[in-house]
Amino acid sequence: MKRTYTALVILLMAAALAWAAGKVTVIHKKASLRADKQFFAPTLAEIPYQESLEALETQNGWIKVSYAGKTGWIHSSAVSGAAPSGEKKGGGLSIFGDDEKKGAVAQEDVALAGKGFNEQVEKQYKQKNPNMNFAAVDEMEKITIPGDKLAAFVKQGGLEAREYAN
Amino acid sequence: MRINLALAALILAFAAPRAHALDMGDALLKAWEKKDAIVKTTKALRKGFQELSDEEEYYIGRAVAARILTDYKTVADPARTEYLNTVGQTLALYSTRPATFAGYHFRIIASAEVNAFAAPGGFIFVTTGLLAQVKSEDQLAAVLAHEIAHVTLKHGLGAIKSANLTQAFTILGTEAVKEYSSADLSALTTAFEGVINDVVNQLVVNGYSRTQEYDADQEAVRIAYKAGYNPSGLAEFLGSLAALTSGDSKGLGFYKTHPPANERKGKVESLIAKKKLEGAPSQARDARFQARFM
Repeated sequence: MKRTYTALVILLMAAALAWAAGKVTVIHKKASLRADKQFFAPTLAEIPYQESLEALETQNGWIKVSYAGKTGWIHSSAVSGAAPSGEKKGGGLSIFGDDEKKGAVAQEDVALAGKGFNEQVEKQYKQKNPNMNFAAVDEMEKITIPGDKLAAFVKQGGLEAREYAN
Repeated sequence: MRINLALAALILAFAAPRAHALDMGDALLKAWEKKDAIVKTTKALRKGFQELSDEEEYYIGRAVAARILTDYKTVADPARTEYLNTVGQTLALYSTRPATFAGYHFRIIASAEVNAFAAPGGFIFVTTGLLAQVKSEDQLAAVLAHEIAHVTLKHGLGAIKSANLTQAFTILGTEAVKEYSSADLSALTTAFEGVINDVVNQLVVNGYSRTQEYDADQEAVRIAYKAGYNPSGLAEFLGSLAALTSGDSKGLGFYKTHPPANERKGKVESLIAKKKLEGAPSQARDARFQARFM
């Protein structure tokens, strides 16, 4: 009896540790795994929608995760789930102020994944409205400027990030 | 016995910083109860547009964009389109929603009207007529930041009539399903059509409320300033718009339904003065803007 109780406590503790570490789930079409805690940092990998990841650390709205053998940072707005405890706030100027969404929230977005207005509904809508120009929307979605190009543009234009006191 | 001792040591190693192992068990129980509460919350019937997921916002945005692109032709100008997206996607990073489900995308549409539309999820359109009034990258940034603000503040989604949302949420119920029955899908698509009509009517026909426009202006100043742009870009653009509206407002399209440009300009200038926001034009930015638009 005593042994069973001890084993149970161990099991519960292992679960508690996993809970404390925190899992996050990608709620966007894809999330970029970046080499550093900024959008202009090089992309190490693209993490697909609904991928579940272990959150290792959070700083200034960025979450450290490992994916496909690479460790980097994803922005918290692209994920949902529990953030690990002990968020460290980095010093210096961050382009993401204190008013930004941090640590990931919106548990509902995970529960709602693929639910509601989804691809299936769009398909039906297209059948009912064959004249709608979805092809032009698909083309529009392809226009994405890579992070390194944005960084060069920012530098060339003398654009320096600033804090804004609310 | 030896095993029990090893287990006890393990327990102590894990639990020592916190408390007794039993306390840990209690904490875990509480955490489990909390988890149940979260699950219950997500299973409740959704009520408002704020509860639409990023993915649902994206599908609404796609359909709204498809409607706009059915009525307006896109301008096939790769250099200007890339420039517009570079400015816009840079600005979005400084907004309260640096990423949406599938990101922010910008397109120029052919129309002499001074007009711009921001569909939910980040599909943003500016007319050739509007671009003709823009005189610098700082002004362009202000206009794009204003449209980004409509997305981040979810003004488009706010136009959805509660009847359409309630209908959809009732069909969806509380169960997570990947495939709907044909009857449910048909009813859901009808509700979806109603949702799209509501958003398109707000964007294209009626325009936003004065309060929403002022809020978007305020947010645009914040976004542009944070990104490093001259915060006066919006006031300058609104000044040009005011000069246009003082004459014949024909051809102003959507902008004639906005609050008067002079009033907006005054509010923006007051905000810049109150916040003591500084900024100056930049030769580098002016040069690259002129290379594409002058």
